[in-house]
Amino acid sequence: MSKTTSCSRRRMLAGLGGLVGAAALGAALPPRRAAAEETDTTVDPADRRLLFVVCASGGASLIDSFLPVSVDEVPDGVDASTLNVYPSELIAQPGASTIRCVRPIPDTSFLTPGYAIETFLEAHYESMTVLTHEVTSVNHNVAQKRAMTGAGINGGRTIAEAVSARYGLGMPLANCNMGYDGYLEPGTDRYLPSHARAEVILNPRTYALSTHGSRGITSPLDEASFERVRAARGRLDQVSPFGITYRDSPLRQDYVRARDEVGPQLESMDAITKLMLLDADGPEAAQLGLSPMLDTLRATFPQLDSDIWQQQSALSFLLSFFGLSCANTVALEFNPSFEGDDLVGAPLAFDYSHVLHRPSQSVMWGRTLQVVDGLVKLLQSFDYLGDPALGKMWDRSLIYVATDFGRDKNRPFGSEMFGTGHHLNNGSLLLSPMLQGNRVFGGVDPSTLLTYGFDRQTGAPEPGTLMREGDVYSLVAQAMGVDFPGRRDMSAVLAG
Amino acid sequence: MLEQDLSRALELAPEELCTELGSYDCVDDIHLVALGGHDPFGRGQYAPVAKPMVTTPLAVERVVLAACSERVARDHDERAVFTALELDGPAPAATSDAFIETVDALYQRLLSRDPIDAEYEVLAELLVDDQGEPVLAERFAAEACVAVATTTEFIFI
Repeated sequence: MSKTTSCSRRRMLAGLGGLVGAAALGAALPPRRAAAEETDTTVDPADRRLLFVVCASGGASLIDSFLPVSVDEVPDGVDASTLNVYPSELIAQPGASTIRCVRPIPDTSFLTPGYAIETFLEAHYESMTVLTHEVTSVNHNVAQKRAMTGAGINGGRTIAEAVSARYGLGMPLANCNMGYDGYLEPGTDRYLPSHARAEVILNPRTYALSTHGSRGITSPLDEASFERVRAARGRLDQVSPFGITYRDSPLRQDYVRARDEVGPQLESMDAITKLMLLDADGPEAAQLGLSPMLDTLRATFPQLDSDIWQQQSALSFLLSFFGLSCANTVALEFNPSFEGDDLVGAPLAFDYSHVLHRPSQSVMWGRTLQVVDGLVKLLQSFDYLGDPALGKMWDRSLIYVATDFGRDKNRPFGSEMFGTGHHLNNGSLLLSPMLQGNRVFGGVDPSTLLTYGFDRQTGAPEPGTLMREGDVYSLVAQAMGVDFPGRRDMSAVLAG
Repeated sequence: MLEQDLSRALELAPEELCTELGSYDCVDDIHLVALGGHDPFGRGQYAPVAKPMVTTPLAVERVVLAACSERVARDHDERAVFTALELDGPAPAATSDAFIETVDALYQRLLSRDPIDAEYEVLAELLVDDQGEPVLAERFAAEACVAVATTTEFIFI
């Protein structure tokens, strides 16, 4: 952690004067977006949509999960022993699924396998959409950010920012980001409305404490007294030389809006109780309640009290269920994860493939899909805002399993235990009732294991073509009802 | 910097300013990003957020409320900031030296300047309750401290 910050209070001040000028200039410029969808009115809850970006950090390879190629499928004349292909008995295609997957591999070295990819496919193939693409960077940070921005196809706006701009006005925490590295970085669109800026959450278990100004703090001031203080503080800001001088500074106005409008909204919604995941002892904790969903969440995410990955997913559900946000990003971190003595999360997450490719892919895909499974089940079980009239949350949800890039397609001769480097070529997994489920768009060349693209209007596979980050971004945006100049028409992938 | 400035102004060590749930450091463990810090090792966050987050004002309030309350509690035994007040007694009159000295001390310690007349007038309102009766001096001290230390001037300077 670091408290040495380039966002110091004094630097904020230094920016105030400039921001006043920038605001004046901005007023004279035409808005970048016609943006019929970015009005200053809130979106009716019935029309809202919910985005969940699940970041499989480090390079989650689709040919090691849902686009595997078997040894038997390698064409004559190509040496299968140097390609990352699997024995046919390790490839499963359950029931009516048109999607295949890799079964649990027999040896995961010192990584402890948990949830199986096959289990996920059996449960969710009808909701799964797999599409191929090739990204444009094999640098983790750059690739992660491009997975969020579609490589800049929407003016640098991340997909979570875009969805929040569309639906988030009036939601106090429209865009919550619990990501990692490049997934955590904000977009670069300077016209992004303030309500769509990300709320960065480091510790999901105790985040609830950030949503109330006083509850749980030991003080002689009761809540009524605290409100007196707030009123006096507001008057001090109105009469002070600083407050008068910088009254119109956008930065200060933004802060005051958050303080005087969003903060009270969070308190009136009792977010501190609804989001509380930490079951603590002591007099301070006695002032606080626990999320009414805690038992349900513990049943869904068995390691909720110890695993930050499951805590992130649980919090993303709570934020959505209670109408606090419409876009949530969660991410595997690069630190190893343990359950007791078991190493259930590889150091560097998927990037431990550098050392142990197949064990890392198998275990980390399982770890990723376990929380997606939990999230889908929760979304399918609960009515949005608890209101049956609004239908199940799932009906308005899209889960985008984002990753950095793919991995090398080759292996040392005949080896089952090998390391891989980064590779541009890969694909993505998405789940939503707004997409065509049980479908693979694009395909894999069995002689190279490189994925190829598809026709955006018909969905027909097109060997020799490639989809890009902008295609994935456009698809998510189109499904979520987010328009922007240059959006590609991905109609073939949308549900009828 | 907010942590350092509060620590210096209220003569409390950083770890004495505020704890959440009795054991978590408010700044390092709970509100780091909201207060302008970042987490390069845990979350790969290599720079702080460019602008305050939605929850920044609430995080500021929690830390300041805890710190001011702690300072008032300690001043009962060993006066450091509220030296002009009899904390166990009623709040002083708005025209009293004790009031003027207390407000001056808060402004000098927190904002490094003298208050203007209008600011005295605002803080004088905290001397009495809704019925116009004097509040306890310790309550006035805590309220005035929180009010000044959560102004935008303290946040941005």
